Amino acid sequence: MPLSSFLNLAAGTIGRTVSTKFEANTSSKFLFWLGKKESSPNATDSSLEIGNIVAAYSDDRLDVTFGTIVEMRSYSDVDSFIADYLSHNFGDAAIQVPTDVSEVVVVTCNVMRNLSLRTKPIGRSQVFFPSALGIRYAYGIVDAAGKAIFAGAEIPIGVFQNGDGTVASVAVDEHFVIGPESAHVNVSGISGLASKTSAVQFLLKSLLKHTRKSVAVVMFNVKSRDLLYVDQPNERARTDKWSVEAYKELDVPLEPFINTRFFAPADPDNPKRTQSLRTMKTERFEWDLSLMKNDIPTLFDAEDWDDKTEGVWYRIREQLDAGSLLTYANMLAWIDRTIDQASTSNKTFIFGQHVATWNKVAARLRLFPRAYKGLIATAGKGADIPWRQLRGGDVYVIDIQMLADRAKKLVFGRAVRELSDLMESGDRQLDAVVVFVDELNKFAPSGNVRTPLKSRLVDITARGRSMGLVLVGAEQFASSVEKEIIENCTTYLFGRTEANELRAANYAALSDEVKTKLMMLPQGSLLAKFAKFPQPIFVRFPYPPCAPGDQFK
Amino acid sequence: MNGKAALRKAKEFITAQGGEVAPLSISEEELNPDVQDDMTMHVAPLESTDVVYDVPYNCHEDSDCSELRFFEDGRQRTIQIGYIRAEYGETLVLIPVHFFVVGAVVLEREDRRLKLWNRPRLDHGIFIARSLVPDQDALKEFEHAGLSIVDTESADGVPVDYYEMRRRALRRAKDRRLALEQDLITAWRSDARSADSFLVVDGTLMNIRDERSVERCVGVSKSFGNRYFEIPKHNRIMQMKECQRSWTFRFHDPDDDLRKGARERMSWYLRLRERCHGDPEFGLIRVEIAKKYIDNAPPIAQRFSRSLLSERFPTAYPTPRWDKHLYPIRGCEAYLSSVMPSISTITASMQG
Repeated sequence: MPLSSFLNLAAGTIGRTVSTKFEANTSSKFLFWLGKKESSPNATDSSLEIGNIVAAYSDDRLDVTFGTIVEMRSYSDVDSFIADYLSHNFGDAAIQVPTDVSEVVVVTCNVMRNLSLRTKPIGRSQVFFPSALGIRYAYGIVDAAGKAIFAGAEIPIGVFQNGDGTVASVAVDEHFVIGPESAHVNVSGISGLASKTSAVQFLLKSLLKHTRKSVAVVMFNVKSRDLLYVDQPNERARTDKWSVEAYKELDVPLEPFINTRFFAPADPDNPKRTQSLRTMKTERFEWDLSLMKNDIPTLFDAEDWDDKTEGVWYRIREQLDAGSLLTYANMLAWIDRTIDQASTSNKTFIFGQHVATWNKVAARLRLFPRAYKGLIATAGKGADIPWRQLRGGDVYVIDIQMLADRAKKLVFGRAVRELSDLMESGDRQLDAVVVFVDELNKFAPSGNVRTPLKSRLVDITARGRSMGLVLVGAEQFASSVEKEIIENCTTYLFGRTEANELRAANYAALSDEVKTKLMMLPQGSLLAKFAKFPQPIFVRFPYPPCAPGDQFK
Repeated sequence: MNGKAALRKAKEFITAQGGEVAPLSISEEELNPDVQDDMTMHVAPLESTDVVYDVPYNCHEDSDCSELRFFEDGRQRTIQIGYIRAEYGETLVLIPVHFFVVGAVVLEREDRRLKLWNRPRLDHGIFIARSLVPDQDALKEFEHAGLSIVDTESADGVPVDYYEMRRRALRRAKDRRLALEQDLITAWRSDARSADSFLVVDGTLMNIRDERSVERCVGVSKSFGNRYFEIPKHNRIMQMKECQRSWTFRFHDPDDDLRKGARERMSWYLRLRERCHGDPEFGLIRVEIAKKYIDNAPPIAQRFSRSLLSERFPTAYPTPRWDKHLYPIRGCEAYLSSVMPSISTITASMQG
């Protein structure tokens, strides 16, 4: 393939690489000055900005080196501030000088790839905008022959629009998103402006369309009505010209998720209904004693769960395992009866534990059905989420927005455990289950505090890729999530981010200019960092394919 | 032959002649700063010398009033890169070899931005006392291969010593630079785009022999080595205030006979900047134009003085003589510096 096919020659030359005595070009970085617009009348070099990709075509015409712009500096030949002050008649800001002082914009690029695949400093080169092929080559999506080089399917995550208007689809490697090579996605950005949920919805739709594997999706609706209408079309996307074209270009159907099921905790006041804010069909779940007996210890506060409490629970658990207690109400009644009998016979200890401890445990257990409203069926048969019915292409939405934080953790923790068990079982029908949860920092906060749920999530991100359990987490601040989880993700999407957050170690590899751009990133744009990309890339994605919950009427 | 190839050939030439490649790290121009362009002249005032004249220039309203669009400057670099040892009978002769590069450029200002007008002129090669070179066949071979070899000997062929040979190299460089500049100015004059414009030339116009080329040039001299008027009158010039000019005067070389078409120019002094706490020459320039304007001297002097006062901003600070340096002329110098091999490049090429 001729090297010129990697360049947008029609846009003209935009500059020339340069090094000086003090600023060298290296194998990882090169500089170029921006030419006059007149030198390339068709070009839009003035539209160059941070994050654009350029292609340096060597003067010997043997190599093309691609770089992403990380810094742009404007230099003039004014020696000092005082010199410019003098140049305006000793500080007269109103005067017009006949000659503008010479100015040059010097652009710093991080090297992405070159066609020779050699690690070397760039030589004297003319700088062009790359063609769409050049952009895809630069990101390691295709090889020098233009052929896809991903091990798995290409999963489009959005489009990249360069300074010259060239648009290229940006895709990640399926094998690095859902395994087996690597897995997990993390999305961060401030609420309301970062479009995290929209980005994930588009990504998941794209994944379900392009994957060659049997993949199911489980989404947790943790706030408002965010994910409660993912089965409904998004009129905004259908009427937005750019979005329609983007869906077409990326070969993703502009239609809502299909094969969806919605689950929510039962409504204690009306067992046939759920507590969901969704006005359409939802399925209830609540756990009877047999379903949740293993989880009961986790319902206690950490400070309540001591050796004495564990001793009482041990006796209760014996009764459960013996099959003599069938419902939660049965269990409470048995405990009350046991305490009453001890009181009647003036016993201070019951099965070796003080009656006060029994009373404390009884009080807590009596409280749980209210604290975990709708989750605990005190009488009758419970209903769990039918995890084993999950098939490829299915989407489960679990609505937990109405629950208190502890209850949310219970549901999420149980789901993760069930899914782990499912994926580790020998008769699984799926290659991968993608679990999407917003506000990941609530389930796995950064810091030294270890909780069973956090440990489980760390474990999943560390080895989930091999079992096919994939975590797609979102949060406002990546720094507020457990470091090990973030580090185990292969794909990061950064939305608009605040300056304070950008000082965190998570963003240390980004240049100041890229950080500045992140602070002003418009809705619908994200900075994508993917294990196989040589540099992060700013991508734009269309409106989500399904109705945003807060806009659904 | 490009600069790199010329440097390589120059080195090979010295070696081929059995000479020593021994580059100096300083140019002849730096060792012997050029003699001032301001020469001894015969002058004749065109206005009263009893007063100086205010130029009608308002700093706010006229700061962008310059009618000048074209600016020219030339540069030269002459560096001794080695010497050749030759024995003529009992006499040992050391022949210095100089590498030279000269250039000239015209910048055009359009929409307040400077750009190249046409291609600049560049020339490079070596200076040597040609007849003293021992291996004449090799010399011709190098010449044939494209190396420009310029003779530094005088027409009378009188032998000179090592130091005189070096001085001559410097003079030859200046001659070639002036020739290049004249060539460029002639080309500029013939360009339809510049038909109604004047060209600002750095330095005196006395070096330009073609009167047709001078007609649309404005020479700006920044340094003065001579006094053309009696001391009280000259001191009046030195005491001028910002935006004042001297009387206009005509002048010519005393060695040239006007009746035989000697070069004659019209000139005046102009104070570009207030000299508060500065030396008497701070911001003082001498302007030259062609003699054809002599009959209309005062208005012409006012007209170009206004333009030049406008050109004092932006300043070329902190270059030496920034008080008189015009920013576009500095642009010419900066351009030529960027395309001419630096002394360190020349030295390194010889050593490498």
